[in-house]
Amino acid sequence: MKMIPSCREITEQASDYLDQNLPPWKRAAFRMHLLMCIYCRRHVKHLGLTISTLGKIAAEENARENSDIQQIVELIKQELEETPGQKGEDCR
Amino acid sequence: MNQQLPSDDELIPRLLAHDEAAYTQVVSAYHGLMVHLARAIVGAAIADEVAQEAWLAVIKALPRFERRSSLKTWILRIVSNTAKTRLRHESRTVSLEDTLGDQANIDPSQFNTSGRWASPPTVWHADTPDDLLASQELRACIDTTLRALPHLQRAALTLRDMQGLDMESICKVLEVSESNGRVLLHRARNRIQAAIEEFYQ
Ligand SMILES: [Zn+2]
Repeated sequence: MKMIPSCREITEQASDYLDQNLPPWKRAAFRMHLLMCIYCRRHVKHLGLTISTLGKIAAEENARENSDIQQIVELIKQELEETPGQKGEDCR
Repeated sequence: MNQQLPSDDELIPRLLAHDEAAYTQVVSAYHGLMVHLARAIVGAAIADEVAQEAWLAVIKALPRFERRSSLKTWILRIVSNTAKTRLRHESRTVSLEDTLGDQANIDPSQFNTSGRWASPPTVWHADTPDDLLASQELRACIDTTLRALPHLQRAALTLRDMQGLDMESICKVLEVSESNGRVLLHRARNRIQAAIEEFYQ
């Protein structure tokens, strides 16, 4: 087995690398490749930026959205009235 | 926003006893996330409806909840299943085979036969998410790509990179193995990256 992965293999492992999910020897070989290859460094940097951009988009969406919690709770209340509870005393 | 949510041990008996305050807390904590997950699987138009339907299913199933996962993961799995059932009714499929069989999105012609870059990645001229999102056009392009992802890929990406769940919970929610979950996430990320890459070319 060869020690250092190819550029193609780097792109296949990049997601797991960023998630700290590569076994130690694979991680070491991955980093070794990055030291020698500017294009893979760029690819991995771009993937990291893609992930943080998705997080940023979600944070903006989450801040903007506020679903009507009260409306859902009302719906649940209606449903609960028709469903037996587990209070014990009101079961008999 | 919502205060600290009590532990499952405290919440579950209260929910079973139909404690309204407990329901309000759980809805405040999880409803937004449920809508995001539903949207990833069935699309925006009926996501709210699916999330509501899931709440009713949660109430029904709660007495049988065996606590093999957290309450949060269990609720999200109900959302995922409700959404998948909905898709099936509309004869749209959501099979893992479809999603995994789908081409990995790094174009093989990007590499030569020895596995080196044949057409290397372009420079993006962006160092932060804000740099990227400054372009409305790119924002729209990312959004379009997200919506075009296969359902399970979009669900994995939404839960992991957009809502911050851990991989183990995500695999339980989507009912896929850990390795399939990782493949879904990897492919989804690559598609978004490829869309940004195309934008800069
Ligand atoms: Zn390389």
